[in-house]
Amino acid sequence: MTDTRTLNEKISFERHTPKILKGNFAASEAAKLCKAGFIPAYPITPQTTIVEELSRKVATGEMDATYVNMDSEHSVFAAAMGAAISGERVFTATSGQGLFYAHEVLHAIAHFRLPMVVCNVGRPSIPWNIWADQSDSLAQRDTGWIQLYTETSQEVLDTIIQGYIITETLDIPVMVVLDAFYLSHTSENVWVPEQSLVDEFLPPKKKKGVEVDGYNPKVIGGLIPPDQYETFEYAWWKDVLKVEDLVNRVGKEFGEKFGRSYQAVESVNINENTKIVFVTTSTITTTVRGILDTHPEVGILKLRLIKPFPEKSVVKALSIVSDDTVIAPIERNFLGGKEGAIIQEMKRALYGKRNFKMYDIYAGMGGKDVSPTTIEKMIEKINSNPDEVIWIDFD
Amino acid sequence: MAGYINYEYYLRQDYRNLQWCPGCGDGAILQAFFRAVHELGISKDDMAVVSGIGCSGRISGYIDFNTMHTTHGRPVAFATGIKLAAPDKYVVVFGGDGDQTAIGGNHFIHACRRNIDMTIIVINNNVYGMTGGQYSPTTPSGFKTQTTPYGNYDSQFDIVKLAIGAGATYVARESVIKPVVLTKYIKKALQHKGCSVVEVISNCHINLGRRNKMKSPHAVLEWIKDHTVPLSRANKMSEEELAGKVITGEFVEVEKPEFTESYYKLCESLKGE
Ligand SMILES: Cc1ncc(C[n+]2csc(CCOP(=O)(O)OP(=O)(O)O)c2C)c(N)n1
Ligand code: SF4
Ligand SMILES: [Mg+2]
Repeated sequence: MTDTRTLNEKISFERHTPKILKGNFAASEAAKLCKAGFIPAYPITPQTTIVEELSRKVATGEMDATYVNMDSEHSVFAAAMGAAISGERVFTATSGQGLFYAHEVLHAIAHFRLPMVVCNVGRPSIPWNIWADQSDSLAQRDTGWIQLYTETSQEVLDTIIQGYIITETLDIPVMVVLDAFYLSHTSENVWVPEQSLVDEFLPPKKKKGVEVDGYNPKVIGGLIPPDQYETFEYAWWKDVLKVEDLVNRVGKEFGEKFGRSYQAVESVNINENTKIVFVTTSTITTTVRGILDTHPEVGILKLRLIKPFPEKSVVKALSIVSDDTVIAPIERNFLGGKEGAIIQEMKRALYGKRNFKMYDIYAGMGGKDVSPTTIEKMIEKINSNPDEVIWIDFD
Repeated sequence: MAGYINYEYYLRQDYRNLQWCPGCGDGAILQAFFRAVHELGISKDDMAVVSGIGCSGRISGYIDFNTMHTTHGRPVAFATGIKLAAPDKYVVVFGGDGDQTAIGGNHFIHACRRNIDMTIIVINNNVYGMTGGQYSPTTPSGFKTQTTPYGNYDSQFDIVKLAIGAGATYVARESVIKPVVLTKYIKKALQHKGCSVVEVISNCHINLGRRNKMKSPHAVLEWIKDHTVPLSRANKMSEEELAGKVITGEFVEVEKPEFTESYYKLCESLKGE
């Protein structure tokens, strides 16, 4: 769970140094602490400062890694794949159009079962826009990557560290998602752990014998006939089923070590009296937290893990509320459907288990500010029995 | 038709906020382009202008032609579609050094190879200007950028050689310090049937100059002046004297079958078979 104690000046964490970092710098700091050994890079606003800072860290020797500027995101992810096949711990970052362009290789990385952690600073596609939006990463839900969404700079740093444990345990790549500007370019207090603390938690990457190895040559890739293809997918599926528990376990162990624990989902103010549960991701969560004092009837279900969807955790978090509670996902994405991506996942998770009234709320796309007033407008709207899908600034 | 040009006529009146840094070379290139179009008397309705993404790519948003602001690196591919669908139109592509030789390099060489009738104007400011100054495939050795903070150690593309090698049939290079010659080359490129490439060396004092002891537009222009040699003079210079210099001029002007024409000719010949 996001530990709001990091915002409290009186709390301090042992073997940590407090710093003021933007989300992007928390990401590059985490890549350094995790001793990423290979970083292919290509700039795109608002991700650029992540790789620029890593370029500086590597050039000055602050970080021992290979940093290579590539000619596009497609090449970045291909190079990432090559290095991961060779057994390197890989890190990179991209955004929006860059992630869309890398789509082909995203599939390849996941299907090759290559571990790596990549940050995506979400922005939409056309019409051109560089501001906060999650349609880029949510459109990659079917590429097979694990997706974790972050709310604060602290959570960015902590999630990347956990991400390497998760990815190297299951050999499924991990995408850590940040909101453009609201998180990537906003300075916050961050407790940066000592290197030795991270080393105790995250051991060096172990070779598994499947990597490229000159002394033990092997063919990687190749054509798989119909009678064998499903063998790979079945083995992968078995591992996908383990992700939710693993995310919860790693989040708990992280808490024991670092003093800040995390889960696949966080439930805030969800109890027998809750009338509306907002389902949130990333920074909009913070805004909703801000209105809870004046709206005790509102709860938050913050999704940290989105892919694979944390079905068990969601059902458990909502087990306490009554059937007439309204579930209202806030969608900072538009993928061409009647409903946004989050409500689709929620309905799938709750199907046959609970039958809530659900309102899908499109809001905050292309960086549009979702202020506490916007959240209050959502509450008003929900209370007036609207259509199932709400465009908060249009109806 | 030379003489007074009403620039207002060519600029989009509802988009007057040109988002280029004061002193950026892109403005001089746009002016040379307007001059070329004006002097040739081409109607703006007969021209499609396609651009990629970058400071250079903003051109299509500013001008009142048939324009398309596309995705990063892809304007040549978009333009290929336009040319084939409307073969009687002039098709012009504006792209940066990054747009045309990094992420979009593949489209660039294939347009040259098939000699499709379009004018590709590559604005080479030796850097990714828009994203804040990261090195590009044309950043000179030793130059500091945001991704080569201690000097560029990578090799460069010579855009002219790349275009010639790939098969473009009109290839020229000029810099923003010689707008009159540049206008002449753009005019010739527009009139040429086939794939024409005009590389324009431009100044980005904000994201390249500033990090390399050339803070003002003027300082970068001086650097461009010192490092460019016209072809006529270069022919008389030794290899040592030419080291580190960029040659400007017209390099290729040949006739070869043009792609769109060959395609429609083939379709015509197969009719009734
Ligand atoms: C697929 C994709 N990746 C990255 C970007 C980010 N981006 C925008 S402009 C640019 C570089 C522009 O450099 P150049 O083409 O030389 O144009 P200039 O700004 O220098 O004129 C990049 C990398 C993007 N828009 N799309
Ligand atoms: S950043 Fe450079 S290329 Fe872009 S507008 Fe400014 S001076 Fe021109
Ligand atoms: Mg450029």
